[in-house]
Amino acid sequence: MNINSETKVLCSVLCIVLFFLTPLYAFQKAEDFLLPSLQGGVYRLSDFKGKVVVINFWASWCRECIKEMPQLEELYRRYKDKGLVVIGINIDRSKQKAALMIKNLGISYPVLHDEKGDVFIKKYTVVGLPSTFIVDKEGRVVARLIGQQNLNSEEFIQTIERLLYQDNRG
Amino acid sequence: MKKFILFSVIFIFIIAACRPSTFVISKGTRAYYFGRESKGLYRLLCETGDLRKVLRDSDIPVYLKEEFYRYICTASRSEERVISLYQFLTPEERRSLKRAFIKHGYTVNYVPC
Repeated sequence: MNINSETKVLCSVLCIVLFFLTPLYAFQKAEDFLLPSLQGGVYRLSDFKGKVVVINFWASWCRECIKEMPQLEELYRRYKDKGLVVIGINIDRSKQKAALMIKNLGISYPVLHDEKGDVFIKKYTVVGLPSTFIVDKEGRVVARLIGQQNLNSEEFIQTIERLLYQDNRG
Repeated sequence: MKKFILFSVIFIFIIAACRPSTFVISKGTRAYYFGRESKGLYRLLCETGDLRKVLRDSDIPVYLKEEFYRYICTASRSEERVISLYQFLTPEERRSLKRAFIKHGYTVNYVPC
């Protein structure tokens, strides 16, 4: 294959641009939060240190969010005994609709209610729905996924398994 | 070289167009993404007092109005926080915000991505 100098320059520029577009959140310490659950009780992120945590932001008016939730439930059931925690964070103004929705969808992982957006806006500055953050055993954000994802994909499962089975030495 | 420039322009356009955003507001000949950190938008919304009027007439919770003002018109200006605030709004609240802009002489063009 003949690669001319123009193509080489082009590829170099694209690589540099893509490098700077790498999510800035990756590997930052996950901000701690304390929120009430729609199923009862309160949860604090730091209580799950030493576990891999998947945090999923959603709203009842977001169709893509609802489509993702059964996949999250499947993931939770498959890996909860191996140290995976899935936390849903709902941003509806009232709890009722969201609570009914998780009941109808058969969601068993904790779904918290961020009524004022303190976690959504100030701590995680979420810029799209749904948004999923993956936090490793050391409490670092290792992925920030914006928009609907295929959470059954081989790539996603491999990432979760890699994080679950790595030791805690970081 | 022409090919390179064309490719770069298209690439930058794709990246810019697909970043999460709010909506475009325009008054006169100027158009801005709502929340963009620019001097022009600051003059248009903050120095004229328009943002106060728009927020007053929109049906969104008071604490969110204060946050919008804070992240658009004060030293805490943050485009990312404005996008996050906008994402936090319900569809009804978003419509109400856009209607309030229209009421105060703005043109609103939603740019989906």
